[in-house]
Amino acid sequence: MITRREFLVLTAASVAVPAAVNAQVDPNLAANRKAAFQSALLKLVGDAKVQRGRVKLQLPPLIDNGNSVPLSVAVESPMTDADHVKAIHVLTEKNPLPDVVSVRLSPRAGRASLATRVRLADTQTVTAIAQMSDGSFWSDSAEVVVTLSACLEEGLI
Amino acid sequence: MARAVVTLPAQAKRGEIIEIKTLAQHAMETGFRRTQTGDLIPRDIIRRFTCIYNGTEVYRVDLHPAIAANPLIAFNTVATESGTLTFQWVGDNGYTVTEIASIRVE
Amino acid sequence: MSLRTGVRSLAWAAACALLANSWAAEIPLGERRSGYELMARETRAIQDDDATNPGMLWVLDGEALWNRKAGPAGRACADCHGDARASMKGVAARHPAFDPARGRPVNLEQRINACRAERQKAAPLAYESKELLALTAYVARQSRGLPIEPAIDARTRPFLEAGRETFNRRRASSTCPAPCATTTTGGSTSRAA
Repeated sequence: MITRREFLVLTAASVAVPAAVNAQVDPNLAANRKAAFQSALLKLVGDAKVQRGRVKLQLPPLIDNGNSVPLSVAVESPMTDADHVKAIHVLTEKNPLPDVVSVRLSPRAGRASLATRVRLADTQTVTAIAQMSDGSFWSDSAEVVVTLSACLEEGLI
Repeated sequence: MARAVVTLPAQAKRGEIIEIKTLAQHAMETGFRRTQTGDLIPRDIIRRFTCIYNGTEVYRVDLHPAIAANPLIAFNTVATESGTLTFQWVGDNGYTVTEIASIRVE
Repeated sequence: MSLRTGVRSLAWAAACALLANSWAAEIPLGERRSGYELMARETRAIQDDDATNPGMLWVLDGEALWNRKAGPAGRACADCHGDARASMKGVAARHPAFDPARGRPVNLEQRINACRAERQKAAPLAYESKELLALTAYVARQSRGLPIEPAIDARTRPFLEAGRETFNRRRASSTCPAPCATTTTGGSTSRAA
């Protein structure tokens, strides 16, 4: 008996073909997207060092459908005037665009967090960056496997 | 027609951190999809969400095409005083939606 | 393997297949499981929380449509059916239901459109249209938690049998080559969500 997961993998194989065609059209697709990610990161943090920690990014490790992926970010912070999270950014390396979402907050938030649903175009690493009131940057990343990619579907019109 | 739904407690203790969940009805067209004839379907997304609490912005989100359709934004805010929370979504093609909720803080 | 053992194995295999077939065809009502139990964890999370379930946007739209006047007589669903929470309770759970006027079962969408055409004298709503999805979601919401139990009787049984045959039939299709029976547990949905 074919399991649901096997069935989805078979379906994904037929959806993955456009991606291969895309790659034929642009042989540097992966490299370009990685460069876009680096560029977006640079725009956010400048030449500041980004440290791992204090940020917790949560995504399901195995994603059946990349069109709607629950994502949550939480940052350890007292959220006082003296010490709080000013911004949270989420980036990807393999989506057509690197930026996913940016949050601006203040001590009024009480807790530095965001829960949302995102689109992921491929198996990849998702990165969350927190910008602190003292100018420091902290990050976390999550590796996800995406069975059915977003952003590659055929038009419906 | 329902364009956005906001869920938050009707009342809270002063200083309590409350959770707010919002849902906006929007296709979030990425700009990467194509029609049957190969033409690109233009981007049409919500670009910004803000929560204003008695006149002060307490949370702001910049959304990109990677946010899934019918965007969910769940976040926290400190219940500082009784009053009004205004939630606003602004997007492409003149899209703008506002929802207002009251909160009693004691 | 001796001939007798071979025949016995064959008979055993045939008996199993027959049993499995008939077992898969008729899961006792008490043993049927909701499609909810087959959902991925993330999908269940969406289902569990109305505040984050985009489907609720359509339920709210449906509520607005329920109260909106339509057709030349300016009649809303509410004008005849009143408060849906009372009048629509259990309705979705017993559809598809036999429609004597049509001599066949109709699903919820068809029932809604029949009402629109006959009672409101309004144009039917297109399948998959936002309006029909919304009204259907709103009406179905009023059956939340109730077991799905379309009436099976002499009138509906032929349609049930035709459905069972289609469900178990292997299909030649590029999008779904497997029979429905192998990718689900075989018509097990029992509770309206």
